[in-house]
Amino acid sequence: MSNRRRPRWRTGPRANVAPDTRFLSIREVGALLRKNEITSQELTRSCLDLVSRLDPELHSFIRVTADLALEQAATADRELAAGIDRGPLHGVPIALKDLFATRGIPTTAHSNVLLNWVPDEDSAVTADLRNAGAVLLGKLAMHEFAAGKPGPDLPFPPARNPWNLEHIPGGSSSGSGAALAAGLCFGAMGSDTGGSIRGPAAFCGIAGIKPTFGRVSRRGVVPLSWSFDHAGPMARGVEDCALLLQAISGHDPLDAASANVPVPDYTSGLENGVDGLRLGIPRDWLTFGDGVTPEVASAFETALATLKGLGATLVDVPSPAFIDSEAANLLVGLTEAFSYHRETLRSRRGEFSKNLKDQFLEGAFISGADYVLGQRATVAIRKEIASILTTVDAIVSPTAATVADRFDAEDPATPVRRPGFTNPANVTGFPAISVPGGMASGLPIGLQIMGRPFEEALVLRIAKAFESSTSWHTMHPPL
Amino acid sequence: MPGDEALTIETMRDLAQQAGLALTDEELRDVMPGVARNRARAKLLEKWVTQDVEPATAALANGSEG
Repeated sequence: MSNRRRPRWRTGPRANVAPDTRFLSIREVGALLRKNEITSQELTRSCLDLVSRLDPELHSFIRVTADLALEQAATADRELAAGIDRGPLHGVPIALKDLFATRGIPTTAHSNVLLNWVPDEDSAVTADLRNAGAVLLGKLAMHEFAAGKPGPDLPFPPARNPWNLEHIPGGSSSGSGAALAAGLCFGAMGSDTGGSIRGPAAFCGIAGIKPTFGRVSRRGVVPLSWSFDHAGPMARGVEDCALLLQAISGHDPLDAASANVPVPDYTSGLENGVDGLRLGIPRDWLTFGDGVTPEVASAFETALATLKGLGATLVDVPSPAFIDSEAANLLVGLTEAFSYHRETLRSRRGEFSKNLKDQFLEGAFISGADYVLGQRATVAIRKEIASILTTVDAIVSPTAATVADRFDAEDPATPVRRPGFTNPANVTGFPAISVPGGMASGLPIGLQIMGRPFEEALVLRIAKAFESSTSWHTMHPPL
Repeated sequence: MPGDEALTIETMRDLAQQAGLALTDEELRDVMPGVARNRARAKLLEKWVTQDVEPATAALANGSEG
C-alpha cells in the first residue's frame, strides 16, 4: 500500500479535478509527481483521455498501448513512493515513432510491408526509456519507412498538424510533432535522415534535436540510410529535449556506428546564455533557388536580432557546402534505401505506397560510381563545414523555407526549389536543433542551430537562450 | 559505365534487370524524372571531389600514359 499522502488537489474545493498538466514540461510534471500532487497513473490517464478525444482527428498515434502505459505508470507510482527514483523521466508519459522496435508491440514503420511485425526485442532507445521509468503511451504515425509522404495507399491515416488540420505536420516524424504540439504526451522519439526530427518540430511549433552521428544508438531502429540515420528526441521545450537526450545517449557496442565518447550533463549549462558566442549565418543559402518565403525571412531576421541582443556576434559564413549538402544527402540516401529494401522491392513492391515505391526504386538507377562520388562529396562537405565551425561556435538558419503546406497543395507548374536547411547536419553528422522561432498565417516557423560534433550541450544552450527570450514555445494550437 | 547512358526506357530496363528488378514500362516512366534528378545531383557534386592527391589523375585526364 502506498504511503504517499493524499494529493492536495483531491481535498480542496476543486476536488477530483487534476492539475491541468497538458502543456507542462517534463521538469514540471516531475515536480508534481515528486510532491505527490499527481500520480503517474493520473497523468497517464489524462494523456490517454486527450488521445481518445483529439486523436480521431489528429491521427498522431498508430497504436495506443493503454494497458501497458497504465501498468508502467502504476509501477512508477509504486517505485517513487518507495523512494526509488529513476530520474526525470520516471512516470512521465512519452511515445515512440513507429520505427523504434518495441518488444511484443507491433512496429510497422507506417507501412503495409511491416504490418505484422512484432519485434522480439526493444530498440536500444526503447530500452533506455523503459529503464528511465518513462511510460509508453503508444506508437506514433510517420511517413512510410521515414521517407514517403502522406497518401491514400497506406495502412494508417496521416498525422495532421494540430495548428490547422488541413496542413501537414511535416515528416517523417509526423506523429511525434503532432502529438507533442497537441499536448498528448510529454516527450517523443523521432528519427532524422534528412531533417525528419527538425522538420516536424518546426512545422508543429515544438523542439527537436538531431544529435551527433553515433551519439544515440540506432540498434532496433528501422533503417533508411546507414550513412545519415540518427535517432533523437522531440519535446515542447529545450530542457525537455536535454532530459530525453540524456536518457538515450551513450555508447552501444552492438551498434557499429555508435561512438564511444563521454556523455556530458546536458542540463547543467543550459542557462549560460550566448553572450560572447559567434554564430555563423550562411547568407547566400537563404536566397538559394527560390529562397525562403518572406514570412520565414522576417521571422529569421527577428530571431537573429534576438540572439544579437543577447550578446552573440553574428558572422556571415560561406554557403556552398550547405547548399550542396542536399544533393549528397539524397544521392547517398536513396542508394542506401534501395539497398535495404531491394529484396522487398523485387518480390513485394505492391505493398509499398506508390509514392515510396517510386522514390526507393530511384536508388536502383544510381551507379556505384555515383554513390561513391556522393560519399566522397560528403567527406569534402563535412570537412568544409567543420572548417567553418572553427571560426564560429554554431550555424544558425531557418529550419524550413516555408510554413507547413496544405495536404491538398498541388505541385506548381514550374518546380519551386527551396533551400534544404536540414540536410547539412545529416551529411556532416553534426548536431542540430529546431526550436519555435515565429508564426505566420497561424502556423509555426522553426529556428535551427547546428554545432560541432558532440557539442549538443552548446547547441542546447544557444537554443535555450533563444527560447527564454521569446514566447513562441508558450503558444499552443487551438485543438 | 552504368549511369552514363542516355536516359531511355530501354537503358532503364537494362539497369533495372541488372538490379534484379522486372519493372513495367509504366513503373520505369514513373521513376524516370527522379533518376534524371539523381544524375544531375551527381554532376553537381563532382566539384567537391578533388583528385589532387591521386598522382595518375592528370595522365588519365589527358589520355596519356605519362
